[in-house]
Amino acid sequence: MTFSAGRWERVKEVFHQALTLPAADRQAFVAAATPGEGTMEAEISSLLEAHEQASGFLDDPAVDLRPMMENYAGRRIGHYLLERPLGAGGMGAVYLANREMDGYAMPVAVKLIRAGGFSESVARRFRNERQILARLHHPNITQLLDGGVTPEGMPYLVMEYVAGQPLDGYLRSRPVGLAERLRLFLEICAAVGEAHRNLIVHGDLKPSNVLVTGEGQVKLLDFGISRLLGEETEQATMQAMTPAWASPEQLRGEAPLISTDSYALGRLLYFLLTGTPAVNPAGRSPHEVLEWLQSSMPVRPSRAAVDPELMGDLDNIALKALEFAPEDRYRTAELLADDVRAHLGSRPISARSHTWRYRTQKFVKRNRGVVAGVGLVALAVLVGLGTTLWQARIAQRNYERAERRFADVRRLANSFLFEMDESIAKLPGSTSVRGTLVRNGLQYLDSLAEEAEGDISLREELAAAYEKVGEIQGRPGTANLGDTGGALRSCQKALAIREALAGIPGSMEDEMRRQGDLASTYVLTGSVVKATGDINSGLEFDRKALAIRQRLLEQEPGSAARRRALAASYTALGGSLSQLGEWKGVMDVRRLAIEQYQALVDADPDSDTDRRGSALAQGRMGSILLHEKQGAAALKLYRRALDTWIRLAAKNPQNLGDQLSLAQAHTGLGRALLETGDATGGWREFVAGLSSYDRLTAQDPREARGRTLRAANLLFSARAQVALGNLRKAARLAGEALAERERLSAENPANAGAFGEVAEAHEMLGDVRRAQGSVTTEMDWRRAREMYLYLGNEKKLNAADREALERIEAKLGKQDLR
Amino acid sequence: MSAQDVTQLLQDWSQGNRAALELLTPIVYDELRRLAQYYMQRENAGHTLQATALVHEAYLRLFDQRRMQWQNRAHFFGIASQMIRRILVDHARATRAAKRGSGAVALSLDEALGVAEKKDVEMIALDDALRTLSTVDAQQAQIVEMRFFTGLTIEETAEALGISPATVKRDWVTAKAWLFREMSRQP
Repeated sequence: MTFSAGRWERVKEVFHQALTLPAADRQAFVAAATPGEGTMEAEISSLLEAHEQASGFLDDPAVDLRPMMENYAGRRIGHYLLERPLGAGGMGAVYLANREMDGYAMPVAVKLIRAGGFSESVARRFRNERQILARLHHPNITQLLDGGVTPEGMPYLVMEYVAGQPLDGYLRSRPVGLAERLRLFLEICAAVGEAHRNLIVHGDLKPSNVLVTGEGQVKLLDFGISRLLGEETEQATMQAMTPAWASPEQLRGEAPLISTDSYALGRLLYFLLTGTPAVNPAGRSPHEVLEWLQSSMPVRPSRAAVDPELMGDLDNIALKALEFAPEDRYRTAELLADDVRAHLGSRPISARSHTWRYRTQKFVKRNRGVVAGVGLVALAVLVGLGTTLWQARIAQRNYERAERRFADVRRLANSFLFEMDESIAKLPGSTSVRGTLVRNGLQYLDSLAEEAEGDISLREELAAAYEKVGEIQGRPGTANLGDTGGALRSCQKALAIREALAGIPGSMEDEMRRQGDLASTYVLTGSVVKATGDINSGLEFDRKALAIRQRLLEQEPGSAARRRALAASYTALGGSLSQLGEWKGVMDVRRLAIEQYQALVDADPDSDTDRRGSALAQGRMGSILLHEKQGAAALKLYRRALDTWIRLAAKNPQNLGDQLSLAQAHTGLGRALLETGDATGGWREFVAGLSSYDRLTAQDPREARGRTLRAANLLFSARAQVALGNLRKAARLAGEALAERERLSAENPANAGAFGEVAEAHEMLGDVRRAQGSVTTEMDWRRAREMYLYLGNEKKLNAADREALERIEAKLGKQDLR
Repeated sequence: MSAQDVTQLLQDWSQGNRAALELLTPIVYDELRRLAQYYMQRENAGHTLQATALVHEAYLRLFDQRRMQWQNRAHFFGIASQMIRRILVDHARATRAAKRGSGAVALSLDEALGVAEKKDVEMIALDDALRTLSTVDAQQAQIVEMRFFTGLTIEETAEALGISPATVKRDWVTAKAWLFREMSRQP
């Protein structure tokens, strides 16, 4: 039916007028508006009718280009200037961005996440997960650097920028031999395995999330992103996954587990071997794909790729990884990688071609009626099947339980580690709520402990969980509940498990690992015991850990990890001894620590970790030398440490720890220079340190460690200005340090160290005022004395505090005499 | 032609230069076509995801992102919507044809494909109905293209077509009712 243009205009006009009326009145209106025009009236009426039925029609666009419409290029988000979009997908757009540091730009990738209805609970979850991900470090995982929420409420993630190609593009762009493809796969497995050890599941592994750099290094993208966005609802799960790469569990709408990633690794292996996806779900619903997966297996890779080289091991490995039931697959990424390595090394692999059980099951499933009627043969099959099915059910149950446990423990540990930390920061008075949470969590852990008897790996996990709980309750030096007693009990539970496990005979490797774990638990327990004020008992734990670690290193003198652990033990011991004021002992163990780190650096001069350890040990030694008035020796160490930090900070501009340490090294060198009479040189270093701190704290104004170190720098700067005779400047600097330390202490009232630092700032301000000849000198000194005395009452006075108290008493005494 | 040149063409066109559009269209279409072939050969997900990825990739490859303005984008998606429609509909037709004449391997997979087939049929029916609509009201057909095949909002569609959002809204409502009626009539 065609209308002349004029008629069509009228149709539209009347149609729209009708739409402004309540539905019930429209028909009458149309009749009245088109008197005597039957076809016109019919046309409009049928449009109105269609309109009423068409709700939802065409509302979901076939293609959604909205993410591309929002061009954020040129915009600044947080500290990042967005340069240009790198790509976009359903979840949002990724931009190449620059972070301005030290005048040169560092490229990063900023992922803007389009999240409709970004609620407070989603926001909290986003922050929690971000913290977990930020702790995930692996050369084959794109490092999460930062993240936040824009003023408009759009969450964003900042990631290491990797100039690479997605796996599919990489394979397309050049010929890649089988050995090289398997090497890429092993790197993927290593990354996934590391994430799983950190209790992080990827949930959406697929070629486009695997980048390969120009040097052929794998970098996995989007770790844990599915969880970041909340996988709790089925809908979210369905959105987060990509059907071609989803596991049967995900297709059922279940949250991703470790086994999900193992399955996805199978898909990636298949893709690497054949260049095609194992399953092609084009246009099918998740339900249909699921049914297909249940009843069929993918074509063997050797057939799919027509490559006889893949026959045997590689076919079997890929198909085992792609088994429908999680318990038939590789349990971990390592086991899968082990088989690939075994194949490369021509050792036997664990995967077999489909077993008798498997084949019978599939056969029976397809031919149930026939089998039942085929006499003896069928009977034999059925008897066998009955047994295997029964065994399979038990295996399945055990497996499901373990996986559920694992997920539960993870959830629990994470909730302790992050959600509670946050609520502490927000609600400084809510001890009772926190107490309840810890109690409930512990009850749960204890009930797990009863069932864990005999299951070594579950007991190991449990010990790790107790340790995490202990850390949350009261590990000094980290955010904690201040429940030292509870922390001690958790540590004792962990210790009981660790000590029992360490006594179980096993392979050499297992035994050494358990000994190593036991040593770490001693270290944790020691630090908690020391927090109760019982330094001597704490020292005992440190010594036990040290003894184990010395032994382990003797057994494996070439192991860098063992040597690092030993060096860390010396460092911890040094900390305890300095709390006791046994300065001589401190110097001794600090020297031993330096030696160990030096050996590590000598063995591997390119290891950033060891160079960091070495420079930190030098800095600690420097500080004790300063305390012992050995300025010249301290100067030498600080210069070496600063050299190292300058190089590390330049190499890792995105590593905030390195940037902080660099600033700290400037401060340390400044102190040594000041101590050896070079106030001008000292001031120069303090200024260098200060400008780094200012930059860093500007980026994250709430970061306590940077602020704490900055305040210390201010205080030394004040001392340098006193030495240079600029008393007004000195007073201003000391005043600023005091104000910052007061803020820091107010934010964390339970921290005795922060409290002591306020006292120290008061003393310094008093010193400056004294030099100025001010009458308020005494006020600050007295305030400092009161604070130290208060700490003494609380039994929290450390050796350095005690020395400060004596010093102030002496100063006040002199003052009184005048 | 460099990304800068292509971007310049888009800017010229959005400032009213019709000749620029004639130069631009084949460039965009070739790029989309090329990418579409690649994506569809290795089809591994539903239409929505792929087609979206396709246009994003074409967009990122063709244009100099630093010089793109919001209005330029709306114009680009204006052209792209027509092409996406053609690509999706061609693909739906090809899939249907393939299913009718497919070999044994594909058949066992295709048994459970009621849903996908229906989608293809709807896509083809929509295309036919849109073609009829464009003879009645070309602007409405264009609005549907932009809204449905690129997901532009009312405001963005208005910007791309240089008309008021109120007009787009009215036309969109009418066109939907019209198309719904047209498609319900078909056997």
